[in-house]
Amino acid sequence: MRSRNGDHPLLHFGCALVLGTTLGADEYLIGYRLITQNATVAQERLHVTPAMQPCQGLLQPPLTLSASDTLSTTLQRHRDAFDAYLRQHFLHVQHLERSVNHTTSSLTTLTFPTACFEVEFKAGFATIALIK
Amino acid sequence: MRYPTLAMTFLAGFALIGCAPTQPQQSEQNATMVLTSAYDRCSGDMQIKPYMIENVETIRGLPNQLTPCHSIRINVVGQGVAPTTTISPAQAFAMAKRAAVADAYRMIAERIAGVHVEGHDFIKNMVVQRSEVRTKVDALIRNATIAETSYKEGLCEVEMEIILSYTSVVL
Repeated sequence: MRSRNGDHPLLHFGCALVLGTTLGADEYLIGYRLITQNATVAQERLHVTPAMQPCQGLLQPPLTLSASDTLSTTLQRHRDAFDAYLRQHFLHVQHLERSVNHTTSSLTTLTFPTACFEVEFKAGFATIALIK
Repeated sequence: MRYPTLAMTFLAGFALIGCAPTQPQQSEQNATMVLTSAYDRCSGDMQIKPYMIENVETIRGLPNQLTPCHSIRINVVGQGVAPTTTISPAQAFAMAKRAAVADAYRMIAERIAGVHVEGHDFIKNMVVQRSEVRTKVDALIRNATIAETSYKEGLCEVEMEIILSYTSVVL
């Protein structure tokens, strides 16, 4: 059945689903941000989303973790190891400190810009490698 | 054909003798001599060897600059405090460690990239009404490692280390 403008209504959705599952299934976009205020953690966010298109670049040395159900839970469970892996690459540090009449407040933001990772789940392990 | 070849050989020998480095004066510091020997041992492919780092760092009075044979090691200790709303000691430790890592990164960034300082003082009738100082640090840090972590009475201290080498900056 054709729609009014001549396109098949489910064609684009089906194509996107097929391409997404075949091409971008093992590639994820991961970003991290940590905000501390006065030496206390105020906010910490880890963004994980599947990549909708293939990533370009070279594979960096991988990190192997014991896998959980999803990538998010795997990263949460092995947070220290993943932090150390991110630390090998680059982190953006921004620190603002304000002192008014000798009363000081500070705000530090640690950001790992969103980057593409290749993730492979195999035999109970997850292999994560940055594509750069 | 034999005599010109011999003459050229002698000339080259004299030229090499004339280009030989002279002995350093006694007034020069020993540090300079050690640095010169370090440069001689440095390989041509700009690879920084670990023993070179140790040798060069023990020299006193050297300028703190980055050269192909001289690496700079920076050690900082960041401090972090757990929030008051944690539900367990483990969570408190984890949160305090996060804050300490961020503080250590801030200190490294201050050492490497510097601090932007801006101050405003509002004075009225010769009396300071408001004094405000703002500082800002902005940097990209790579390859920093955690050397040691300690947690005591709600305060977490993280010792972080970074080695600045010529190759890591250039490449």
